[in-house]
Amino acid sequence: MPPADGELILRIKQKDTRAFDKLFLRHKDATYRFAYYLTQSRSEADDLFQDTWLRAVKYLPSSSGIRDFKAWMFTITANLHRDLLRKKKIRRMFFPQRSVESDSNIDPFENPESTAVPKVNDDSNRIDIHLALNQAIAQLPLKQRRVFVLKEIEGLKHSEISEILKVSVGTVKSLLHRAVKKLQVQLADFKN
Amino acid sequence: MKCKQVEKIIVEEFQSDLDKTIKLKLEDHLSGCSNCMSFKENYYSLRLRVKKIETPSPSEEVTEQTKTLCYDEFLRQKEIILFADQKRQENETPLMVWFAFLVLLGLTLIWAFPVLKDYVEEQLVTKHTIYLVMIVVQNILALIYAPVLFRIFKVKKLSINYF
Repeated sequence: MPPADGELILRIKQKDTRAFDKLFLRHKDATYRFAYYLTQSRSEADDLFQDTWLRAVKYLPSSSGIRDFKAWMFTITANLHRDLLRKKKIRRMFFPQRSVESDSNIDPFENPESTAVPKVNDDSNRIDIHLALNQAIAQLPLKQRRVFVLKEIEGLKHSEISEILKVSVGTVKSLLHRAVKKLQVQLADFKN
Repeated sequence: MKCKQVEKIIVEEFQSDLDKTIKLKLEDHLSGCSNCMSFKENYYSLRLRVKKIETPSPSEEVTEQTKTLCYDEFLRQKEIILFADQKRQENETPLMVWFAFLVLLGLTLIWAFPVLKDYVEEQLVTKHTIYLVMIVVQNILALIYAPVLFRIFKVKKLSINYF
């Protein structure tokens, strides 16, 4: 049976790098996935992913009582992303031209040609529902997207999401409801 | 029950934990409202699709880079601990100092005891009593200012080494 996260964290506190390897392997995909859905860009997701792990390693030895490592990592990712957005906002204030250029590099979930959700074409059955779904998720407002990804993709509970995003459970439910509504409208063509 | 309420219940995570009366009301509403029924079906199909969605994973290069950075951070933390241990060892009071302190304390007591006895028994203020008071005051001042002097000396020494 593989060791639990708590056990691995204890070993990491004693500077056991093999324990770190195991923990990294176990959670890297989920961390990256969340970073990717937040930033919607490969390069920004790469940076956010690296920063998240670095911060985790930095604060892991001094942290006590991490109940759920995955949720803890999501909290770090969400906080770092919030910082990133704040920095972007400040940059936009001072360099409006440059920031507009850099923001236009958004990679709408591996489809650089279009940010719009593709429509079903009767002539072709090759429309990829997954691509459409990814693009529809990408078009959700940030708050709704964060909640939707954590709930439906990462499978977290409402209470865990509320702790990660520092909002009430009621807000989580409301944001999720709005996100689902929007996705249903956007994916109406794919009903069947 | 209103449609909005029904939709919120559908998105609720623990359907099984719902109150029986709410469940009945929900079923009743759903049987008569095609919009909410369609919302429910669409939500469940969306959930199924999301589960099958292809999600991105970090590239090999990013994974390796991140691991390397984390190892570097581990090394840095190890070095900090080693440095702190080394500093603690450097700051420890040498045994010789403790020995000298004990000898001086012993000698002071041996010398001070008769003088104090004289003063208490005969109320006699001699030359030795004044010496004793001076030594006591001197020791108090030394105890107060020694750490400050030590620190100043160390900072000077460190800054000389640094530059």
